[in-house]
Amino acid sequence: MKIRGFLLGGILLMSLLVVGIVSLFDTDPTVSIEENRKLATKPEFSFESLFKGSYISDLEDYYADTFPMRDRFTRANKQLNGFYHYSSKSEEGTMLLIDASNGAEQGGMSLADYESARSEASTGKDANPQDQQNQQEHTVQPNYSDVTENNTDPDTPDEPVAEPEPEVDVTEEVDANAAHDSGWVQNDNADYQTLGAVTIIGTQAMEIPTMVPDVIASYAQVVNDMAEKMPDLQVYSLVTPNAAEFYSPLDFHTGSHSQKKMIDTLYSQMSDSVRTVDIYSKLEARTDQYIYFRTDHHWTARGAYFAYVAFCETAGFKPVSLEDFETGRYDEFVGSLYTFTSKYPQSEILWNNPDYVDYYLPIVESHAKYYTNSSLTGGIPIAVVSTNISNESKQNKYLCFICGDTPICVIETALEDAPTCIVLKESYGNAFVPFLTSHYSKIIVIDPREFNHGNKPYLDLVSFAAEQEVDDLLVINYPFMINNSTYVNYLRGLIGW
Amino acid sequence: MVFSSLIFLYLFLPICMLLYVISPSIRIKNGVLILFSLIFYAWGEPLNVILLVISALINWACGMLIDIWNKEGKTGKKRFAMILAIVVDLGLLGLFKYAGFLVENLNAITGLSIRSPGLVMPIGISFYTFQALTYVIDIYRGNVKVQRSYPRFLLYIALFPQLIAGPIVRYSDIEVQLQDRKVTSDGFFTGLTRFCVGLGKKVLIANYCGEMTTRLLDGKTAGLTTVGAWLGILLYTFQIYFDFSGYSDMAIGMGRMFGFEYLENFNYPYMSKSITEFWRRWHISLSSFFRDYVYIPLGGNRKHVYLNLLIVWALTGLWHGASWNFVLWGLYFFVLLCIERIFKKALDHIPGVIRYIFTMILVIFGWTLFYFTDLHDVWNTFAAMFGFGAGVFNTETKINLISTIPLLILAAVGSTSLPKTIGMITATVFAGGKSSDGEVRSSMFYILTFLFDLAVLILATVSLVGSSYNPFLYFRF
Repeated sequence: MKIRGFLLGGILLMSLLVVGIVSLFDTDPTVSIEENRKLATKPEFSFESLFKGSYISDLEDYYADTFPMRDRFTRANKQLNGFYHYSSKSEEGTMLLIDASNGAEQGGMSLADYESARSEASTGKDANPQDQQNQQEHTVQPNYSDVTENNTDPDTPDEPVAEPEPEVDVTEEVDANAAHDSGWVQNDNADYQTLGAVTIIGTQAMEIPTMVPDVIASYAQVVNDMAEKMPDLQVYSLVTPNAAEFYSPLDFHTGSHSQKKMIDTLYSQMSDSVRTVDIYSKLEARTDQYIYFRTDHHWTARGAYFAYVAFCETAGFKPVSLEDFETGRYDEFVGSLYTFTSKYPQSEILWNNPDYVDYYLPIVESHAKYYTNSSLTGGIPIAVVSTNISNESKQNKYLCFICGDTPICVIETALEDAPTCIVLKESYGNAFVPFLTSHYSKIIVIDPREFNHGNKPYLDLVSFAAEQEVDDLLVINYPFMINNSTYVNYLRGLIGW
Repeated sequence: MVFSSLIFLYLFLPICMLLYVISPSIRIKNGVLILFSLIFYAWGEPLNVILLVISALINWACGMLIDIWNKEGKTGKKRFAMILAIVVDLGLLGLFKYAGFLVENLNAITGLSIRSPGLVMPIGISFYTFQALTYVIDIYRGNVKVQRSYPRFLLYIALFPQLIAGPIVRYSDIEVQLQDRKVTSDGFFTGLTRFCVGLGKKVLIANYCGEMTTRLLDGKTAGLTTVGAWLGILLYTFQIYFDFSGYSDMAIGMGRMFGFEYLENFNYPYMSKSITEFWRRWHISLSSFFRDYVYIPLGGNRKHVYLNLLIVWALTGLWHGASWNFVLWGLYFFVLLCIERIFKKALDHIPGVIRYIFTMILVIFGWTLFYFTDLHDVWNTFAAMFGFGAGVFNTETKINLISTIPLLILAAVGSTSLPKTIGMITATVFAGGKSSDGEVRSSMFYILTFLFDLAVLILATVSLVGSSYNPFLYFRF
């Protein structure tokens, strides 16, 4: 038995080698639905990237992302994380605290993005990896036909979710932009600084922001400058607290985590020409209602409704009563904070205690289209509130509001004589915007993250607003954004330095 | 490249081992090792590999010169060749590791604004430079024979198991093995097991301690609570031990698999009862280097011993990094060692448990100095540790504390000799003494060890693949 050491050691090493060889020749998946992201693709070799060190680190990322049986390993890792991030498994005892340096608003996502990703994940597996890579880089496009197929619900509302757009040039335009978008998340991550944490306590997940006074001051400055550069517009600043302010343990919403302090600090620095909207006290008075999701970082449409009431009071509109809306519900919804924590077993409690999404349909007849740039050509019709998102998955139902994040979305209502407005927002604004249809003839919704940096299209907000003859400008954000220098830079980019 | 990566585990190591095994002669085997070592180094440092090769060449040439002039009896020239090698080695180290630091301080003192050379330190330079020094000095002293083959010398300097994170292997320790070594079946298997132990220490303990340390201590020391500060530094204390000793374990293990016998680098340092003992158990290859190549030549215990100690510990601190906190950290140990030297008799009367606890607390304070390169953070953390921070306890501390309890227990047990004792007992039980079925029972031990290795490899893979799991809240395809 002299050789047993060689034998056993040899078996171990050769098993490693077999896995290693398989890893070189197996077919690589390109997207991970579970993680909500595109997996790393094989980096292209160049001497420049080799000497900078980026080639090797990209290659290692690619290798880990495409390791054989990666799904199985990541599921096992979730169990392993239960040891390293221990908490009681009971509903009351569940606790988790992780860094959220990226914040929840990494870049925005539209319903079309989501649908196309799903179809890519389900159909793309057998394709040759090289082809797939090409396909991703050059032809990623929202897969409208999928959305339309789902659109067989008999209760289809006035607005179809998405009509296939037959014009060829339009599709090309979308193509080009989608291709640009590929690099977006990665570029973005580097920019976002540590802003706070995500926590699960019991069945409630929350994002905890941390105050950065300098960034808040520059946010105030940008909004003030908007008012100054566009004197014909009435500028409104709407900053909403998130769920942590009302449902987290005391430490997580006091001191540097106090959202009230953040909002008060911000509003106190606004010039007189900016009207600030007190959403905070409206929500604070209704914390016994279902105004925030537990598994998602957003507010519910009901929460957004109270913000709308606050806005109406400031702007002098008469708010529509909540009872007057036709409503509907998506029963099971597990949102972004589940995805964000899905590496840890504590997230299961969110999965097992899903939210639901109530929506309120516009009362005034409204039609929406989204555009990829400010030329407002080649628009793609979408629903202001979509009632037919597939129930197949528990996730991403929040995308029913103006179909998620798109660069520019224009809603035209039947109120032809009413004023017009521009809304600058991240996804918190999505649930809010549909309520405005009762007061404006035209609402132009702009996502500042989609313009004026990297390969994004150019938009000069001042001249755009003048061209469109807009009356009001609403800037709506939640606390992670007013403390986020990258986002503030995007806002600044719209009007120039 | 690092050992704890998927590419190393699943491609580099097994392919290297396979080629090594099928190589028919020691020359080819050495060739395989040199080739793989250079690939290993070039993987992360494609340009600095040239520096490595040139540095080895200069030291090899100086060794040849010392030998030639030694034979010719030219003492002065021989001395010159050694000094030349030392100047080149320390010069390169100084240029790449300390130039930025030096310029920064010079500017601060003189008010000048000299531009920093902005060189990035080549990984492992502190280790391979010291290895080269042991060769040149020992050949000058006549302790080792000259190495006439440059490839063999390059193998000594660049051998990938110890190349980037030690141990600092002395030439005298592997002089013979460079040309003649044998891998035994037992040696191969225990080497592999040692590698797995190290891998587990690094991936399954150190990485998680590190993740938590970062969360607790990075960037917000002003907001630390007392419990949070202690928890953070304690986790860092474990991280640095498991990371570093895990790397040494992997190096020693792989060395054995190729037939090299390296000396131990760590010997349960967290079981020490004095700082003197701690430094006999921590990073042994470094402290013994400073002892034999700096402290003793300076005069050792015979003359101006405290000055010698001061020099050695200032250098030890500086070796760990070009920043004042490392110098402070070295001097901190200088002071502690002096105190122990002066009060040795009195300290010996204190019960062992108390000495143990005190030693650990002093070591933990040391790691606080070591962790933060910004002295404000050191100050804030010490303040928090003694109750002058942002309170004693809060919700964040509570969640962090509870979530790390299993990890803390694992790390605490793992840093004692208990796991080793369990292994020894198992071995004794299954080795079965001289009984007639000893062979079978002994095989049982092999199989248990095999299963242990397999389990560590699988868990490490789960963790490494899992760390690529990186959920995004939003698609952007």
